[in-house]
Amino acid sequence: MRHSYQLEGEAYRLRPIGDADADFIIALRGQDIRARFLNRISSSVESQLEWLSAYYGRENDYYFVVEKKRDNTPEGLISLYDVDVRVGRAEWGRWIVAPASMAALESVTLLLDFAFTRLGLAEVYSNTIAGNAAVNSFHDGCGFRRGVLQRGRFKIDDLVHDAIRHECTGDEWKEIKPHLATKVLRIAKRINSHA
Amino acid sequence: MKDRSILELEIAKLVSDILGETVGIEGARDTVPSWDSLRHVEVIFSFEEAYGLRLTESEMASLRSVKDLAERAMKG
Repeated sequence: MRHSYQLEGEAYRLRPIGDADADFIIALRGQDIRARFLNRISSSVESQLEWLSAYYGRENDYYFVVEKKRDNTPEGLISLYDVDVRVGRAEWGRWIVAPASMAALESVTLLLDFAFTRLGLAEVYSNTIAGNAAVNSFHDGCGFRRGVLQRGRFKIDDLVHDAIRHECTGDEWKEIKPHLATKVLRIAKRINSHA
Repeated sequence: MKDRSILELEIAKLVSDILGETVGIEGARDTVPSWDSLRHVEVIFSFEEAYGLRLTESEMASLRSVKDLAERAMKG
């Protein structure tokens, strides 16, 4: 959806994605080796603009660019989607951060804070391809709870993949956030000191 | 200055202690799944403290293996 949420963090912010980001999306998702764990996207700007146009029409979908505050450099992408306000749940994903960026932790922290404090959701979850061990390790390390294995959740290049679901309630987030915030602050101090 | 092979062993131990699993001198983020973005932060700051270094922002993200870190420690 066309939202106007701009979420300011310590070193990074999340800002609404727009048509001008089409090239960035293609570059980030098309070139990074880790993109093999994401659904394929077209490498044409026109196709990407079509996708964005459809996204703008979805009322329960918030797509953000992760941007470094110091110089407004885009360094990643992250989304909250399938937002069901009736039951207070949403999935987060489409998450990818440039290999040379330290934005991973703060981007997730900002998004979950948005989900729980701005939207007032009760629970968020993510689905990660089971073979994406590094990202599953990240979720485990953050303290997100493993849910039921999602069999055949993804199909990429005609291959079906199971997904590991990680879940986090608002109450759990209150416990998890302070631990992550310490690391976010430490990274931010360093990044901001390089201004 | 320490020999590179000694540094690599030291750093492999440092990384192993943080990850809670044995990482050899060939260990790298691309091949050790538990060396994820979250734990990389701990690796970087522990490495800095151990060797009295202050990495640049780009180094923090680009040093992705035991050998990379040993190379950086050699430079001082």
